[in-house]
Amino acid sequence: MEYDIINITGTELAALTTVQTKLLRTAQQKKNELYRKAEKELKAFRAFAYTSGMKNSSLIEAKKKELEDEAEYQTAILADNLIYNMSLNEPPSGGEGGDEGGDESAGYIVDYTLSYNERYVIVRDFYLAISDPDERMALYAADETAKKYLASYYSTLYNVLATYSK
Amino acid sequence: MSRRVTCDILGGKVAPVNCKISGGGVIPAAYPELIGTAVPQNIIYACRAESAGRFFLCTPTDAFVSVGGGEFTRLNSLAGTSPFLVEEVNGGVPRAVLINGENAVAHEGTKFYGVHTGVNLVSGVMRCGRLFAADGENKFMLRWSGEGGIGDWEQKMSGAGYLLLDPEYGEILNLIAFGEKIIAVRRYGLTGLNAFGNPENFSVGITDTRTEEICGGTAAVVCGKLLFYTRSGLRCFDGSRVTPLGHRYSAEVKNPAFAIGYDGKYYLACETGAGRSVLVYDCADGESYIHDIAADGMCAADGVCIFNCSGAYRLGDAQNFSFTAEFDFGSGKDKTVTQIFIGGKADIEIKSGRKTRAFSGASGIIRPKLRGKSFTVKVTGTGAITALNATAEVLNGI
Repeated sequence: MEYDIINITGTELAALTTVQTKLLRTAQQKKNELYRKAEKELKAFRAFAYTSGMKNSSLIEAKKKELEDEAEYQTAILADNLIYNMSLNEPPSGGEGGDEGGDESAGYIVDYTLSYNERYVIVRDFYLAISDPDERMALYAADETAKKYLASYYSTLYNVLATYSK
Repeated sequence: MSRRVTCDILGGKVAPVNCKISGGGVIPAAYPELIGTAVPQNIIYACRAESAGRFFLCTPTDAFVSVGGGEFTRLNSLAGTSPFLVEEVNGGVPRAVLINGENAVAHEGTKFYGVHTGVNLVSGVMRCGRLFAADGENKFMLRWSGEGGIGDWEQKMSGAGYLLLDPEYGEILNLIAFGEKIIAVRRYGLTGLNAFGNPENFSVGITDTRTEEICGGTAAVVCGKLLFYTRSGLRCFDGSRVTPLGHRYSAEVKNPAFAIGYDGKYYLACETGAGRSVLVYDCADGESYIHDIAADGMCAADGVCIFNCSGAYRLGDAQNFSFTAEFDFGSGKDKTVTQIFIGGKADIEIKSGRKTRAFSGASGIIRPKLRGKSFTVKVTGTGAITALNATAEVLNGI
């Protein structure tokens, strides 16, 4: 997949974590879908303009600009959210996050001294803060840290997040 | 062996001036009364704006204004050759706007001011708060403004825009609001634009409207139909097709210049055998007559006003009228007109070749005793004439 929703080099791409890559793919897919829909709508409008005798009017260009402006606006929102979410999933700069210590790459507090209820609430609140339900579910599904951190509570939280996605 | 033959003079070739031939008689028509002499020279356009309560006249350089339509004063400079009037509500205030090319003058009744539209426009109409106008530089381009009216030309989907018409029907001459459509009167036909709601819902109607060359400025809406003049004569568009309209002066009209419609009649500034005239075509019965007056501008305002270099005129109460009629009893042989009956009172002059008989204040039967092959009668009067027929004594039949 070609990525143009944000500026990212090949080196930066290779250094992304699994979660970050998933975030990037999801956002790029949505951007591609936005422009595909805009193109389809413009094609339909052009056909309508031809049948209504308006093919040589300024309407087709105006419609094209309107659709492009809207797609650019929506893409900017996607890119902004992507950058923010990716920043929450930056890999650690040094050392390893293990079962005992905090895992900064998770984006939430990873403290194995907490009870499972407390861990559940932390992870739940983190994911509910993600507005896009599809993105939320994709990230949670790819979150290996959460699987270890929550143990059997992982699947419970998965079902809860899924209901919010409907 | 001789016998008598009678013919209806009004049933033949008649050229009525300031009167109408109707129902076998003559009805005096409204007469152009002088209402003022303070008018500019070189008038190219006249109009009346209800929003400002004013009459306007345009010359190639200036705009003039009058309250009553008789005495005009200079309003503002407005240079150009194709001025037109639109009326709109601007900021909650009704105003009349005279537009000529890129420049305009707005008048709100109590004040006026210049407006620069930024777009070169000739001939336009307002519809649903937008100005639709022909582009002054590209004669195939129809422009529309944004919802902000004549000053809103920002091009966007719901704003201003344009349409390039297919060149098949020629350049745009005028735009006319006709029913629910805007009609582009073009050199060789009509194109209708349905302009409801947002521009994305606009559409061009396809109708069979190709014609001979149309004379610019002659289109006017009368009795729910669009009348206009072509090189071949008067035409009528009823919304779906174009049909010819023959009338009494069909063969005489030359150089049709411009027209207005008022009270079921079509008024056309033109030339006839009487010189510069205003042809009047009555849609109710298809009759036509002329006013022998030159018109540089005309407008309708509780009556028809006509403007020329001599002054401002309003068609008022019927006064003097005249008409000429030619008849020959249907034959080219010699005959003697022994009697003319006139139902009414008028001055009558009957002529055949170089011989003339004149009767002043004739009423009922007059006896010209004039011999010839064909005859021309000139009638001048002020009151209605219910009948006019001639009797001839012919030898060996006609």
